[in-house]
Amino acid sequence: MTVFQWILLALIVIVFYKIYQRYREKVISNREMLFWSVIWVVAGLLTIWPGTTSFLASTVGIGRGVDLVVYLALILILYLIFKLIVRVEKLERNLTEIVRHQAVSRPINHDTSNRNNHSQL
Amino acid sequence: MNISVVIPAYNEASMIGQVVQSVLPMVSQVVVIDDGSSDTTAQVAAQAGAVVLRHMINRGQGAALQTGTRYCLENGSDVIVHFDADGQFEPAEIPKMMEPVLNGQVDLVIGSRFLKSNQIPTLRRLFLKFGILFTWFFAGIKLTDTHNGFRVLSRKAAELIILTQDRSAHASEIIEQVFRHDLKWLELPVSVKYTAYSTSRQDGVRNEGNVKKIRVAVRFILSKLLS
Repeated sequence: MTVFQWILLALIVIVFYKIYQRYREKVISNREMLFWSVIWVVAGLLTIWPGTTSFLASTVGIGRGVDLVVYLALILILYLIFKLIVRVEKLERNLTEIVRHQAVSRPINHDTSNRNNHSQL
Repeated sequence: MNISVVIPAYNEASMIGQVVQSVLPMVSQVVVIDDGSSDTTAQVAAQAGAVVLRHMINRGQGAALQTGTRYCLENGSDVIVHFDADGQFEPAEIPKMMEPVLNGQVDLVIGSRFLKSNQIPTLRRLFLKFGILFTWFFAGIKLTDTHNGFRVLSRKAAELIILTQDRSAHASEIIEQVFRHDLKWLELPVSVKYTAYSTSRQDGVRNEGNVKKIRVAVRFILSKLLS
């Protein structure tokens, strides 16, 4: 193993520690911890045996192992961004609904007298 | 016949008083939505005789219009007029705009700056033209003016058109929903006064340039794809 591989492994171990920490603090859920752990385990395995990517790549018919990793990473990232956007849009709508409800229930100058006898036309 | 005017306002303390006072005599009530202003918009509007609804934080013109609409529907309005807070529109044109809705001809009247010879700054005109093409492509309706804040809605239209787009994309959303609910609509010419004051603002916010319009368009497309 090269120095570079060792450094990468060290970084991955740190990331694992961070994931574990967040899980302990209950900031992330069981499922989320598992999801990210799997990703980083795969990253670790690929770091130790980089040949794996070349093998997988040729199986699938793509030139280099690196290309395969990049394609997969891209797909994953796009998917995660998609999910994020949907979440944010939902949050915005919920926020507006709360602000709206508050606004409508506390009108200033609300006229409680007869409403329908009121027209200049 | 209860006629309400809904005016979304964001930091319009200098104009809102005038606007409310000039509109109020013609209608049953004026409802100003203070969209999280940091100035005295709410107080000025209330003193001028409007019902004021306050958004605690700024949510956008579309959101403000929907809030106003909800309040009006809950309080027995038969006709709802959308009007701008910055004094660009002519209050005297309200009766003419309301007529087709009042006599049951249509459910929605939309103002158009282009049906009349208005002086519109060139760059603004260019972007409006793009907006028209964009709306036609996505909403299926060809209008002469897609981003016009002067509208009149029947109660039926107000109940059916529910705005989910909080910011500028609401204009396109209204048109899209008119198409979807098969509502009868009509465009009428309206006058628009571009003053130094009003051109420095758009949607009640200092105009950051038309890059903003492009961002709005992209977000609108995204939300359509993802909903």
